[in-house]
Amino acid sequence: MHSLDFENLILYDAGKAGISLDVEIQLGNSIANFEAKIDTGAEACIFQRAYGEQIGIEIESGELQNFSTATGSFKTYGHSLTLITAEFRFDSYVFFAADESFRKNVLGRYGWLNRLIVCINDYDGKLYLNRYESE
Amino acid sequence: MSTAILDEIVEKTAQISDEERDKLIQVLQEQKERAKQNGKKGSVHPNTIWVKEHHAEYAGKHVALKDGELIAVGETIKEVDLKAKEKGIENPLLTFLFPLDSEPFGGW
Repeated sequence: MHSLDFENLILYDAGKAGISLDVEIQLGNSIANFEAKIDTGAEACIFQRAYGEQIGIEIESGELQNFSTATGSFKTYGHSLTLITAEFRFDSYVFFAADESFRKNVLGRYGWLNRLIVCINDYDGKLYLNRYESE
Repeated sequence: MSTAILDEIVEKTAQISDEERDKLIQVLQEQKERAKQNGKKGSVHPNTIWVKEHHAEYAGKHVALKDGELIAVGETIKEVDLKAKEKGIENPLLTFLFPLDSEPFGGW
């Protein structure tokens, strides 16, 4: 038998599409708030460009990175910023879509999933989160 | 701005009240902050600049960065996190640099 303790429990609507979390991104004194879906298949955190622009980032000044999907690929630019989800705050390297029509926001592996311990009980709509403490 | 105009502004500020001077200082500070935050070039974090300049060198590795400086390199996030902690660095950016020209999966 294995057990884990979690600091944070988030209740979400299991009847809605996806498992969404409130996200805050910060650069300097500028802040943007939005919802993003947890996507364990996504290799990184990818957000729509408007949120990056909202905190004063010139999107194209970041490093170009293409991502693939099941149907094609899309262009993004990487940026370092502070990422806050459910009271957990850390510096993260995230990607903003180049295309303004891109409307997806996902919390993926590098930059979010690998910074927290995540437990999903989708049957009850419960998401448990904990900070990772190095042994 | 020409030196003549700047001299004129400085000369005029000598004639204003303390209250007006405080207001002027506040306006100038706000203008300076806005330029810093939302200027033509926008904001770029020093870590972003480091990644752009050094990605090729460390592609396929995990890195720990702090204020635009490399703290640690390793094969896993845990390795670089522990190295950064050993160096007494708090809250570094821990990130993975994708292999060059790769197209990682971006989600469904």
